[in-house]
Amino acid sequence: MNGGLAAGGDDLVVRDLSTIYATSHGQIVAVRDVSVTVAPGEAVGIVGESGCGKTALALALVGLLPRNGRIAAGEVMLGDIDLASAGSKVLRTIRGRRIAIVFQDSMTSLDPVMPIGRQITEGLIEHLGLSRKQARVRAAELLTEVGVPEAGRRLRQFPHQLSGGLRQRAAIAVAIAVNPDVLIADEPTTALDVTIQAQLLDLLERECRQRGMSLILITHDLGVVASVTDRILVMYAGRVVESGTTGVVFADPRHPYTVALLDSMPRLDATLRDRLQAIPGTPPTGYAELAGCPFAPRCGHVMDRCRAEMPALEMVTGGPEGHHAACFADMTTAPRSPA
Amino acid sequence: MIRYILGRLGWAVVVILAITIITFGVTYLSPVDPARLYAGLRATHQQYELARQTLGLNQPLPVQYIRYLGRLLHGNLGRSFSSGEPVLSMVLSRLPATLELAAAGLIVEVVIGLPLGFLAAVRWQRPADRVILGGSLFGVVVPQFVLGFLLLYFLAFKLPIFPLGVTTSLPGLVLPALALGLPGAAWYARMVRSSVLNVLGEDFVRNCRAKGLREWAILMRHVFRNAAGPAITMIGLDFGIFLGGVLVVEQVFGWPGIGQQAWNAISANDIPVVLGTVIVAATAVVIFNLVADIANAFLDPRIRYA
Repeated sequence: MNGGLAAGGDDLVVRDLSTIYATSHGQIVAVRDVSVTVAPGEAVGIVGESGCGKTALALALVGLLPRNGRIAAGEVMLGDIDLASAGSKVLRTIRGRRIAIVFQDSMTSLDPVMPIGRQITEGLIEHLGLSRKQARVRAAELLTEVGVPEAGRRLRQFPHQLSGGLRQRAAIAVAIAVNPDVLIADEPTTALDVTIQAQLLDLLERECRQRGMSLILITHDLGVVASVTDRILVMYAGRVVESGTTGVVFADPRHPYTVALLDSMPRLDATLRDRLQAIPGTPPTGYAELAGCPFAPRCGHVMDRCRAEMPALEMVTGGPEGHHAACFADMTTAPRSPA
Repeated sequence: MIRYILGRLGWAVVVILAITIITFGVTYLSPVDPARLYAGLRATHQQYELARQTLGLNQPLPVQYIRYLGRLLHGNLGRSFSSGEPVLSMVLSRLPATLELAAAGLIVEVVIGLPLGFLAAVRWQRPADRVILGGSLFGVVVPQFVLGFLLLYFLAFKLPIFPLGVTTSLPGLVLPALALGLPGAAWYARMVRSSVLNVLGEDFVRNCRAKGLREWAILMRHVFRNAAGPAITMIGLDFGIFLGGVLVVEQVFGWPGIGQQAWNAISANDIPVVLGTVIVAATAVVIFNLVADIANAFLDPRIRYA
């Protein structure tokens, strides 16, 4: 779905990316050997529980890891630029301009003491060299486009004067203002009502399609990725444990963790007696070097081999092209838990 | 916004009233009997009673207080016990000198303290930060009179750069202003450092970086405004406090401000002058605190619309 925009056309290629956080308890490997390619106009979902490395991955892509974090290995290629090793000057021309981010909570991700309008025009002036006046006109258009009514008035308002939904729309306007090639949305709807969530997902999908913008949608909610993304990556303990086109992964999940995530979603056809299936236990913290599969302690299909050896992310046997999973068990024959 | 200002104004009035109750109480409880003073030591009992009546001291306490307030509102702060001059004109005659010193001291605080605090935060845990933090500790702990004498000794006596004697000329202002402002600058640096560090940890700063803004633009446009609140409150408070006279610095440098006058009045048991200075000082603190609150409301819309 590349709209043929000027800067478009480059794949975002992540190769064997690992990030490390230094904490007072030792090092945490937040992202481990993650590889993913996002083609122009493609929408990719990254799914997993809290603490599985989704946000660390997003921040690493644009060189915004916190002070105690760093990229330990791998590369992030956008065209012929490696963002993983680029200096801050190069990164600054990429951030906002070619890769933009929408964060989870627009209450904290917008400057509380600056009017919404200026937060949109800032990027336009910085990256596109518009005059203040031009930028203001463009900002009003953008706000209208993302569904904020009375754009002229809203431009002068401050973040706390907008409802959560409008604020997140404004945050999306800030991010897409300069037509980036890639939009990273980190839990963009988590803080919002379900009805508003759906509207915002529609908005994200529409904007990406119209602008030929790639979307990396990060969420813990499989329901969110189902409707919007072309492909999904399921992450667990910093690793990709399953990846494939959204339809295939939903219909034919090959990793027990993906299966468990799917089972933990509420279903419309469930009766009152069916309970939601929770996944027992919590993900590993990432401090210790893992000997076997990180999901083994919580897995219903665990074998002796799983505890000794880390399964690699491999093509699913008999599956369609591009469907990968990192599991020794044969989930095609394994019984699904009752849904 | 108007409602916010009116609310603040109301509180300012309440605070000033509370201060007048205290100063009135001190007058009432002081060992000096105004009637005795008025009538003279050799007055007869009748003359003394007459004096009490003239001064209204035989009235009930609330009535006396209301009259006292009435006099204050007319700018009547009483007369000095020792010189008989009206206290108000005594205080006003000394105010320009104090104003000059207060403004200079504040400039030292702000011009030195704010940028250093900012720099320390931006260079967090790097050498510049450690030096500023260590230096500010010195500034915070050294007593003002020691600092004053050190400045005089090194910069006026050993190296005669600045005048040693009493002078209100511009060069003569430098050392008192430094003695007054440096400890404050140290406080400012520490405070600004921590509030800037707080703001730098906020999500929106990361978001600004994600927007590809220049680090400098982020600091000036976003971080500074968000971190300025505490500093503005403190500037308002400090200016008010300085206007009330700075006893120690004025004493060390022989600066002819209202602080020095109050000091002399304390030594001479001249209660009306002391209390008059207290009322002027307290009013100045309250007014500039109010100004700071309003400035903060302009800076932070969340206060304005709350």
